[in-house]
Amino acid sequence: MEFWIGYLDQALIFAMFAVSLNVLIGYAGIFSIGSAAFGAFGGYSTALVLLGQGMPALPALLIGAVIGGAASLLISGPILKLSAEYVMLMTLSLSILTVTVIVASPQLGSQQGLIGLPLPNFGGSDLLLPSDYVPWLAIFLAVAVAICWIIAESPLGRLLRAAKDDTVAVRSLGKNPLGVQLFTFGVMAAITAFAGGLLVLYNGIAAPSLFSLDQTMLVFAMVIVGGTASLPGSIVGAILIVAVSPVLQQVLKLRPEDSALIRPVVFGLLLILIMRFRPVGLIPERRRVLRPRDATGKGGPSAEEARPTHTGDAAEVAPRKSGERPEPVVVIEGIDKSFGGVHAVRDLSLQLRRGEITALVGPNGAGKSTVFNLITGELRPDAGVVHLGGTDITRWTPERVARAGMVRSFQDLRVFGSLTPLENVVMAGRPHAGENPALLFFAPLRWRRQEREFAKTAAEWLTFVGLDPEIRTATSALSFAQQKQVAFARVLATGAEIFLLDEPLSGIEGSAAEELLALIERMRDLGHTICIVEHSIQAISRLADWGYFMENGTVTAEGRIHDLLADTRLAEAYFGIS
Amino acid sequence: MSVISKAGRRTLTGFVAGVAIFALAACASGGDTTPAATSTSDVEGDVIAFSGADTENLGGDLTIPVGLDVALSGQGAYFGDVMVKGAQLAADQIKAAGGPTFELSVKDHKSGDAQAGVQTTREFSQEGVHMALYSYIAVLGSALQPIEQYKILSLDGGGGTQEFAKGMPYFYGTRALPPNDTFVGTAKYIAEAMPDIKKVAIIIGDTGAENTADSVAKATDELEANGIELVDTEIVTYGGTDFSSAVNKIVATDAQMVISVQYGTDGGYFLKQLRAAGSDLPVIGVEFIPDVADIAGSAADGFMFSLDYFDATNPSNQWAKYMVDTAKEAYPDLTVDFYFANYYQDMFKLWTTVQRTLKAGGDVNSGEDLLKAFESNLTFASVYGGTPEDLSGEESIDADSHSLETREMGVFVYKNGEISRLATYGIGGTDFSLTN
Amino acid sequence: MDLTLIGQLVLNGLITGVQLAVLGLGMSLILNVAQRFHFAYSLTITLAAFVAALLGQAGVPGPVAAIAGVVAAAVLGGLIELVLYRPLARRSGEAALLPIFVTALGLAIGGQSLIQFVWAREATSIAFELVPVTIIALPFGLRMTTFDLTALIVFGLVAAAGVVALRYTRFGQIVRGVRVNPSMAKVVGIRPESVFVAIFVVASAGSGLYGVFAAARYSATPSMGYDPMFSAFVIAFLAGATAPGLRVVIVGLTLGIVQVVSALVIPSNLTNIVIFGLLFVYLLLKGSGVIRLTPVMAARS
Repeated sequence: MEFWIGYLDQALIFAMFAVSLNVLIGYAGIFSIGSAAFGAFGGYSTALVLLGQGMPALPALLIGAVIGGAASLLISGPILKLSAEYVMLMTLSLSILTVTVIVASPQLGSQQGLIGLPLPNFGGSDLLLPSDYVPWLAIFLAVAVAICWIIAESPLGRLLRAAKDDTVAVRSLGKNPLGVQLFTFGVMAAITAFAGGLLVLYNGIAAPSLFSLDQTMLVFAMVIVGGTASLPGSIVGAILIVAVSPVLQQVLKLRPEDSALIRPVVFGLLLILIMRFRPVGLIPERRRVLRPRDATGKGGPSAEEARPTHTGDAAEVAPRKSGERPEPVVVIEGIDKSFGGVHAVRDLSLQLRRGEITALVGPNGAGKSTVFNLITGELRPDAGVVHLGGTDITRWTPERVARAGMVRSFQDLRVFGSLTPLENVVMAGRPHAGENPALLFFAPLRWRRQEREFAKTAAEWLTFVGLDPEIRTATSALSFAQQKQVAFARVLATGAEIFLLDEPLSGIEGSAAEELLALIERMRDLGHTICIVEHSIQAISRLADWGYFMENGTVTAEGRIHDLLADTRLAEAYFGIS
Repeated sequence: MSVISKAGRRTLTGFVAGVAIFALAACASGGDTTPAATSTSDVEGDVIAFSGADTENLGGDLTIPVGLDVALSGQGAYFGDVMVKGAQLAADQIKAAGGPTFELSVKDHKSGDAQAGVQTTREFSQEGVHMALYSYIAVLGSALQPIEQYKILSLDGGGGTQEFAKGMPYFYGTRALPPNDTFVGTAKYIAEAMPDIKKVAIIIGDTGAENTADSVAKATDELEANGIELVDTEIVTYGGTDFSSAVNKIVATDAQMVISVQYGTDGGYFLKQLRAAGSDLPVIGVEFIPDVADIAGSAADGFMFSLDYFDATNPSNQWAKYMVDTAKEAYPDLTVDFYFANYYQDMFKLWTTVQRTLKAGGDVNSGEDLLKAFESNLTFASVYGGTPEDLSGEESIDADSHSLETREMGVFVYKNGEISRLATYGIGGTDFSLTN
Repeated sequence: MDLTLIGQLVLNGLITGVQLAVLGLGMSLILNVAQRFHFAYSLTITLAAFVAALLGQAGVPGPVAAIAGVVAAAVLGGLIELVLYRPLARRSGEAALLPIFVTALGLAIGGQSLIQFVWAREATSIAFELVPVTIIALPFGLRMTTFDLTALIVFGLVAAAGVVALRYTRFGQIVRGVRVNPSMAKVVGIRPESVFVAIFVVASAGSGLYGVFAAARYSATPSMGYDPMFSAFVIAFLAGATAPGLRVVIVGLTLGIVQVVSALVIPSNLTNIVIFGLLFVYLLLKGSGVIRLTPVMAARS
C-alpha cells in the first residue's frame, strides 16, 4: 500500500497543474503549452526563498505563486491578443527557454538543480514520509479546485466561455473580456507556480528535469484525457497518467526498461484514440446550466404576458403619422474607409431618427455592413465623424458604443454556440458583479442576486421572441431560425435605445420570417430607434420609415422608403447586380 | 519519460554511466593461463580471503535488503543492466561463501530523473532498506536528502561524488571523479609520451556552468604543470550531435591535440566531424563506449582515453581475475567493464560493513549502526591495483570528501577494435608509469 | 578575426541552412495551406532515418536505402493526414486546431518510443553511410566533404524546385488558391482535401530527405526529429502566412547560417537560448502590436 502512496502524492500535485491548465484551455480558450515554465518560476522561487531566507514552507510557496502569477502578467498581453497557434508556439518556446536558461545559470544550480532544501514543515511537523504529505496536498488541491471552480462556474466563467466563442459579440454587448482573461491567466499561472513549488518541496530538489517539456506535455495530456472544461476530468486524468508507470510495472509485471518505452506508446495511443472517438474526454464537462427557475420569479412568463420590464432608455413613442420627422439620434457625417486599395466607404452621411426604422438598401458589396462596423467602433473610419445623441463617438471602442446605448446584431448571428439560449441572453445583463473578479469572491450574495434578476429578464426576452427559455442545449445545436431568435433576444436584453440589425431575415422563411417582422415592429413600438440592412424588399417596404440607397460605398439616394422603391433607376441598380 | 529530447532533459548519462569496454572477442582466449586461477569449486574460501572477511561474523543467517538505484530505462539503460549483473554476481558469491542473503531491490531512476531519484529512495525506505548502491551521483543529487533522512548507507560506484555530493551524510563515492581526477594523468601522459605537443584545445560538454568552469580550471592547472598550454576551450551541448562549429574553431587554432571531455555518444560525433574537417589531431577523451566506435567508424581509430578503467584483459590481482572468470561463466555474453567491477566489489564493501556491525554488537537494520561500522575503517579490499600475485588490491575513501582517495587509473587507446593500455597512474597523479 | 574560419562557418551554415529550408518549406505548406499544427513532423524525419539506416546495415546501397526512407516518410505523412487529421478537421471545422495538435502530439510521443522499442532497444543510435566521405579542398583554404557537396546539391535542387513549383506551375497555383480561399477553390473544381494529402506527402518526403541525411551525418536516433522540427516551426512562423517559397528558403538559409556562425560569438551550447529567445521576443513584440501581426493559420478566416 505504501508503495502507491508516493504515486498518490504525485497525482495530487499534478492534478493541481492539470486543473489550472484546464481552466485556461477549456474556459478561457488559451492554448497554453507553458505549464512547466510557470511551474519552474514557482518551484525555483520557492527553493531560493527556502534556501536563502530560511522561511517556513507555506510562505515560500505563496511567494513562488505570486512570482509565477506576476511573470504570467508580463507576457499575458501578447498571449491574449495572439491567435491560438501563436499562443501555442509562444508558450512552447517559453517552456524550452525557461529550462535552457536554468541549465545555463549556475545560480540556479544548472543541470543538478538546487539541492539541500530543508524538509517542508506544515502545521508544526516535518513531512518525511509520502503518507505525511497526503493530507496537506489534498488540502492544497481542494483549495485550488475551489478557486478554479468559482472562476469557471460563475458569471465570470460564462464571460470567458462567451469570449472564447466570440470576442466580437461579447464586445458588442458592452463588455470587454480582456480584464477577466488577464485575471484568469494570472490566477491560473499562480496556481501552477504553487504546484511547481509543491513539486520541488516534495522532491526536495529544484531540478530542470522536474520542469522539462515532457512535464508540460504530460499535464497537457492529463487535461485532454480527462476532458477539457471538466475539472473532475483533470483530476481523474492526473491520477490515470501518473498511474500508468506503476501499473505497467507492478500489475502487468513489465520490466522497467520495457515499461519506460511502452508508457509513452500507451500515452500516444490514448491521446490519438480519445481525439478520434471521445473528444470530450473520459469525464465530459457537466456544468450546471442556468435555468429560468433560478430567476426570482417562479417559472417563465407566458407568451401573452411577456412584457419585458427592461426597456432601457427608450424614449416615448413618437407620433407616427404626422409629416414632421422626429429628431436625429445618430448623425454620421462624411465617413470614409479604405482597405488597402479598396475604397469601401466614401464620404458617407446619414442620420437615424428617434423611434424610426431606417433601412440601408443597396446591391451586394455596396458597403452596408462596413457602415455598421464603422458606426459601432468595430472599424475606425479614415475620415468623418459619428455622433450619438450629440456626442462624438468616432474613436470609441465597440464596448463603449454599446454601453452608450447603441447595439448591433450580426448577419452571421455570432451567438455564443457553447452557451444555452438563456445564458446567451443573460450575457447582455450589465454590469454584472459576478463578472468582476473582486466582487465574485467577496460579494457572493450580491452577484447571486443579480444573476437571478438577469436570468428573469433573459427568460422574459426569450419568451418575448417566442423561444422556450427552458431549452438547455447548446445554442450551436439549434436551428438557424432559433439561433436568430436567441441573437434577437440578446440584443433586446441589452436594453439599448438604438438597434442596428444586419440582415435579420436572411436564412429564414415562411412563418418564422413573419414572426420576426412582427417582432421588429414591436421593438419600434416600444420606442427603439432601429437601423436595418436587409435584402428582402418586401420586408423593407413593410418595416422602414426612411431609406438610404447605397452604391459603391456611398449614399446615392434617400427618402421615404416607398418613394425609393418606386425609383426605376435604383431598382435596376439593385436588381441588375444582385 | 523519454518523450522529447530538448534542453533540460540532457541527463548526465555518460558523466556517470559512461565507460564500457569495447567487446573484445579475442580476450576470452587469454584466460586460464595464470597458475593462481581459481576454479568455481572452492568459491567459499576464495571470496572470504579476497575480501578479507571476518569469518566469525559472516552473518549467514541474515536476510538483508539492499537497494540498487540504477538506470534501467533511458540513455543509460545499458549501464544499469551491467551494474545489476555485477551486484547480483557478488550477492550470489557472498551467500555461497556463508554470508547473508542480500536481497536486491532494483529500481529504475530513468537515467537521472530527479523525481524518480526521490521516489525510488522513498520506496527503499518503505521496504526497510538501509544499504544501497546508487548511480548518477545519487541521481544527480536528488536522492541525497532522502538518503540522509531515511538513513540509508549509500555508495555510488557509477559517478563517484562529484563536487556537489562531497561529504554528504550517508553517501560515499566509489570511483575516481570524472573528469577532474583524469587530467593529471592525461597531462603527464602528453608530457612524457608526446613531448612535442605544447598546445592543446579542450572541447567540453556542458554539464552546468560551474562544473564546466571547474573542470577547465583543473585541466589548465595540470597541463601548465607539465609545460603545456591550453589554447582553446569549446563549450558544447551535452548530449548533442553537431559539433562542427567547435571543430572548425579548433582547427583554426594552432592546437596540436584535443582533450575531449564528452560522454556517451557525443565523443563519437566529435571524432567523426573532426576527421571530416580534414584534421588528424590526436584526441584524448575521458571515457569510451562501444557506440563511439559505431558512430565514428574509422575516425575512432587511435582515440585515447584516460580514466579509472577496469582492464579485464589484464586483471591486476587474483580477485580481479576471479571476478572476470566467474562473470564470464555467469554471463557469457557480458563485457566485464568497470561498472560491473565497481558494483561487484561495492557489494563486498557492504558485506564487510555487516561483519563489522555484527562484531560491534550493532543492529544491521539500523542505518546509524551500519554507517558507524562503515566509517570505522575506510579502507577496503579491491579488484583494482595490486599485483597478479596479490590476493587483492586495496582502496580507501577520504573521510572528509567521501570520495575515493586511491584507485588505479590509466590511459588507453582504441585501435582496430582493440583496446590497449598506454599508461598507469593513481588519483592525484601518483605512481605514473608508461606501459611498454 | 580569422577570415578562413568565418568563410568556413558561413559555408557550413549554408549547408545546414539549405537543409532547413527544405524542412521549412514543407512545414510552411502544412501550417499555412493545410492548416495543421503538425507536431508529428519529427516522426517522419525519424522514420526515414531508421528505415535508411536499417536497410544500410542490411547491405542495401546507401542511395537506395535513402530513397526507401524518403518513400516511407512520404507514405506515413500521407496516411497521417488521410486517416487521422482529415476526420478531425471534418468534424471540428475551425475548432480543429486543438484536436489535431493533440493527435500530432500523441503520434510524436508514441511514435518515437515505438521506433525505439522496435528498432533501437540495444543500441540507441544506428550509423548510416549514404556516400563514401572524402574531403574536397576548395579555394581560400575552405573545404567540404563529398557528403556536404551531395547535401548541397540535393537540397539545393529540391529547394529550387519547390520555389519554382509553387511560383510557376499549376500545382503551385492550386496550392495558392486553396490557401487564400478553400471554398472558392472548391467552386472551380479543386478538392482542398486532396490538395492537403498531396501537401503532406510532399512535405513528409522533404522531411524524410532531411532525416536520411541527418542519419548519415550523425546517426539515426529515436529523438533526432525534435530539434529539426522546432527549427521548421520557427522558419514557417518567421516567414509568415502568405510567404512565397522563396521567402521561406531565405529564412531557412539565414537561420542555418546564424546557427552556425553564432558559434563564433557565443558557446554553441547556448545557441538554443538565442534561437528560442529571438522567437519568443519576436512573438512578444508581435503580440504587443509593435510588429504588425499577420496571422499564420488564420490568414483566410
